Amino acid sequence: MQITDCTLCLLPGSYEQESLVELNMLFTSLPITIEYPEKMESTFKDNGVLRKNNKVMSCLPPKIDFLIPYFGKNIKKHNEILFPSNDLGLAGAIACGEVLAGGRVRTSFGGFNNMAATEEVLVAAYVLERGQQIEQLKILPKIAVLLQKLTGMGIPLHKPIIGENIFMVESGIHVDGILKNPELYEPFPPEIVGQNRRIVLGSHSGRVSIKEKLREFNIACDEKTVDLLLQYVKAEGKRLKRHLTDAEFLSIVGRKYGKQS
Amino acid sequence: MENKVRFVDTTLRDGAQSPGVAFTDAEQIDIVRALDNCGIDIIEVGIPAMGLGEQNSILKMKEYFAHSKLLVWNRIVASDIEASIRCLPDIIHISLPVSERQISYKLHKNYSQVKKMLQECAYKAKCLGYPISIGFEDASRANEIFLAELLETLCEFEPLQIRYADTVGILTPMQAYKKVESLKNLCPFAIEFHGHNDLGFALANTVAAIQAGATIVDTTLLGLGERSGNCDFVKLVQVLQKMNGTSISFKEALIAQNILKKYVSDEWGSLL
Repeated sequence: MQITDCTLCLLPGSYEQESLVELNMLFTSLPITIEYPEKMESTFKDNGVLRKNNKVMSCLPPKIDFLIPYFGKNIKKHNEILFPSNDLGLAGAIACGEVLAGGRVRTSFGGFNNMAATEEVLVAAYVLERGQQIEQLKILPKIAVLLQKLTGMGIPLHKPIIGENIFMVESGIHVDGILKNPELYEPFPPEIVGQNRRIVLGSHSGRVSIKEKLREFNIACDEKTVDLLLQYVKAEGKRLKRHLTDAEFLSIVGRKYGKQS
Repeated sequence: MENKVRFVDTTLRDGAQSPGVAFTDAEQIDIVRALDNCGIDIIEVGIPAMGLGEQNSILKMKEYFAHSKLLVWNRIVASDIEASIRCLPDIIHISLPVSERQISYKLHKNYSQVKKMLQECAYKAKCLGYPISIGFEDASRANEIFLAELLETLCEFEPLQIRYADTVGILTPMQAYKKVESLKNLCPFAIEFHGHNDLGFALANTVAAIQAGATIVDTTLLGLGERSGNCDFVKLVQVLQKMNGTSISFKEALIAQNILKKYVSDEWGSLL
């Protein structure tokens, strides 16, 4: 395994055993090595899921003047692991470069604790660069949910790969494109990382978005009504500074035009 | 490496396109003033073709441009250019999809039709006396031979710069470096890199593109943008300061970022 994830070592304090076991099960299904804190080693040995604990690692500050020439030219020896820090926001890229060059890296889920994010390296190096299909990546959102529950730390909604809102589309031009062919505006199908695409309404909506939503709820409308609804939706999105929920949209349809389904 | 990298800020265009983001005229003016104050070279303010409301907002913003140039976004459609002219921009940006999948699935056109549409729009803008810049949308998934053909076509229109857009954010820094490097060999114009953060690499890709010869970079405040966002301005300034330096002051950049923070929901706070 080229990626060693140390998220479990970073969890402070004591947690309910059940959640930890569940988290550990999720992690073990990914193609990564897991690093355990010493006090947990015995616990998971009993559960029969202990992976090799890597003791050797080297922390290397990125030489950013030579970011690209650096990649792969400096692979650590077989018993060493590159451990980039994310002080400059480049850890994921450096880890990805090292993995592609055949080296090993130490990461954490979500880049927790200022490290390279495990899921970014998995998707960039394995899925996109090497074209591998990793079925288990579908569990990434489950790990995200469990980690948030355990630590109380929030994962930003637009965080790459695991953010809840990254496959949400609002702007008319993108909705139009996504409906014609999702590939147009998606880096990869949301399903491979356990996510779904969602079309939402808001200040950037176009007629095509309104029609799609109406179709979704099986509501028939003439073109003129679509235009009126669009105006109202745009104004409401601007006022609320967020996208409208389905309930809010349906209430507009019902209230304004008596078309509630 | 080029010492002075120039910045195009697209917070008000690409950034504002992301779900839930909407600015009032007063907020936009505040943002423009902060960006102008930072020493940003070009501010991309919006899409005039969206209608009279958008055009009027842009005209209001224009008064607050002291140093930066005002750029407006256009499709390869004549009526877009006409709408832009009403906004009295400094630069007309003409954007066209260049990947086969975007050209055929989105526009339902072929290569030669798109090339012709580009020529017509570039001609129109140039005849009216406007400097133009050209955007290669979805360039990271495009065929290089077609890009070379487009660049040859563009010679007579002398665009200020060519925007190479990794529209869906699929490049790794190694690829970004290689792609920009090979475009540089084909391209007699300045190269502008536009990265997206879908893999978490918008910043690293932008740095790689600069190392490969891009002299202009696109950023947004807070990395605001569609999906996982664009290249974060403040973070890039921070990295450039450790490289060859930049004329942008980190302090001013932070001030601009804090102004944007007031106008977007908390979810756009800093990433982990």
